[in-house]
Amino acid sequence: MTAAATTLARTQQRLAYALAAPAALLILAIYLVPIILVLVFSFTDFTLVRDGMSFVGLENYRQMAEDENFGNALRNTLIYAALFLPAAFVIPLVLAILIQERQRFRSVLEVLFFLPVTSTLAAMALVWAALMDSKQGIINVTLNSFGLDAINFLGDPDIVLFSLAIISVWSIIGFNMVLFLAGLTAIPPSLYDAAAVDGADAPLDRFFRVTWPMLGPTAMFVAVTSSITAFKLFDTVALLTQGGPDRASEVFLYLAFKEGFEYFNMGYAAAMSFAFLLIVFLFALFQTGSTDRRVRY
Amino acid sequence: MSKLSIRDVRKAYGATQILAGLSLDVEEGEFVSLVGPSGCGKSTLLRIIAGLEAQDHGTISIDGKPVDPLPPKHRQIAMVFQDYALYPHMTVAQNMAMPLIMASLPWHARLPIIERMHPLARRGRPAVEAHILETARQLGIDHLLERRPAQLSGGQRQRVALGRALVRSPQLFLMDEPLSNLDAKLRTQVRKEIAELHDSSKLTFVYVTHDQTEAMTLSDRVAIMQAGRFLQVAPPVTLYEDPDNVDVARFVGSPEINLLPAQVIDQRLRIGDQLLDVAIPASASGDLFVAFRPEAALLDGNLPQDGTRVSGALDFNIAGVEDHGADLILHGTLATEPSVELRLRAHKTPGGQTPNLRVGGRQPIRLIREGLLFFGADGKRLRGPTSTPSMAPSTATISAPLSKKVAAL
Repeated sequence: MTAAATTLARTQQRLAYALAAPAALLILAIYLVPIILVLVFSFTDFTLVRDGMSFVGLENYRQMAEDENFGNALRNTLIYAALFLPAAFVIPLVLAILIQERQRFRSVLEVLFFLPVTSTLAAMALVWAALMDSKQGIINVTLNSFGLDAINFLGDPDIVLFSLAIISVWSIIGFNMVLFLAGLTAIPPSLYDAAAVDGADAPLDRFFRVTWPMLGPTAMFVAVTSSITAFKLFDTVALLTQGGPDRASEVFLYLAFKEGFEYFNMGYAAAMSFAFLLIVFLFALFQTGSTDRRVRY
Repeated sequence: MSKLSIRDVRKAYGATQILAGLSLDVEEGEFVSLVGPSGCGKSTLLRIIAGLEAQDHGTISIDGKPVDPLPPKHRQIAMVFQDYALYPHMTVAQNMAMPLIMASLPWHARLPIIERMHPLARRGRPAVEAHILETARQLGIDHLLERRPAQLSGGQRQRVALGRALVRSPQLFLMDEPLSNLDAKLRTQVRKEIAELHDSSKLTFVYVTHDQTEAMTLSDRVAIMQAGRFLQVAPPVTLYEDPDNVDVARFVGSPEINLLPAQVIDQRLRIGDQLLDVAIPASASGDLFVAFRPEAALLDGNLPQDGTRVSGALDFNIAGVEDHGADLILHGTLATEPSVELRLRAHKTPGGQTPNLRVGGRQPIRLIREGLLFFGADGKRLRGPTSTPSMAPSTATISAPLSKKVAAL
């Protein structure tokens, strides 16, 4: 290589590093350093009320294994996810297929269903609280007028997770529906023509032979993001139930928040957060690995 | 009784008329192409025949029975799509099995998972597999059965699409621009294969294309379409030699036919400032167009000795020479006032001498009389008995030109 070419290669290399540096530094500062800090804190007895901290090894993780509240929060989170996920997946999928086939009003319907996504969930949670109020809430008033018993949506330990799931589903339908619509639009129309000629023109056949397999990557994305959303449930709990009644709606992230910022056990909260990160990571990994990746031209 | 019968089919999208009352009969075993520029309605007509779209008016009959209320799967048709429309998530074998499974299993046996263990599906599987293997062998794709479309080349995908269509044992084979996604060399090869398939299967084909070469080489008859109408439906040679109107004449043939504005004055043809003595159809008068193919001109000024009847010599200014190997395509103008652009073809004979054709040169040419086509000002072909000019019995000559310049020779 000539000297000039070597100099040019070096200059380009320096430029490449310089251009990549801001993004790399930001990723480091925003994602990697905090994760490492949380991991470090989780091995200490760091608390907000006392200066200094000491290394306690796996003590926080041992405590987690014995903590009844932790087990309770984990169970609540899983029950909530089991209620939330099927609805958050199936309802948007059905809506997307129905809207996709419409010529008229398609954009109007898209906007309508997407509206909840644009609103502030904290504010909307208060509206839901008013709707779901055990006495004056419009839902219970309606139920009463039909002669049915009122339902204590947010006060009954057996029902509160249902109620929270309903609110979350309402807020995520539009988002997932738009994702599914994007996936549906990407399916070549000639596939449906070919399916019609081949005899797969009934709705079920169309869905199982063409739509569902072709939606594979989209469905995977929706499933993973919705699962993470489910595990991250926090704001409606903090605003509406504060984990109550009697810890019936105390979910994973809310418990970690309480430990860290109400009881000031930052070390323990850090350990919980790290466990949360691991669970979500494993869950997403499992989902990605188990989905059908055959759809590719 | 014809295999496929199209009667007064009309279609409009909103205010836009796509098909303006089309009628066509396709005989058993015939290969008919629908050709035309994009937007002429050829694909729409094919989709209506297939049942993928409904016409607003008119009837489609297959084997003499109207099929209008029938869905595509009950019309006994097979269709090959422009982008092949293979199911990307299925193997080649599964793609080809699709029509067989759909036809042989009830709906509940076709549900996912259930299909794997349903007794009907299991019992039918060996027959389906044998059928697929046989068809795949015919097309030379039996080694690809376990691959997915993504792992296939364009030509292989095309063959799989043909295979999926063939397993249905269709009455009518519909093809929508099946070669347009292939490169030039492969296109020629698959074109030949389609011709062989037509010969061996004796099936009736309706073939949509915008490529006139495909249509001309494959078809028994070609339907030229424009703006939702058939301009002419005829065998390829007829379209080339005996077109009904200017649009057909211009659409068919490459390079394009030469079209000269002319007038008939006293039984003589006037092109620009030159008068030409040629046979003129009796119905011709006033302003018209005279047309001739690029090869319908003799490129040396000499009178032929073999009795070919030609016009008098005209001067041709050569503006460009394209060497296509077997022949030369000349671009240039006819030395009339005003001048007219011409495209001419000169065949090369192996060992023979190439005429001295060079850019900027001037070459006397003679038009072959049988190659002259006359069109009225409205574009319609003028036929009928021709009046032979009295002056010259076997050759037409340029008579006194109107301008000072005389065509030399």
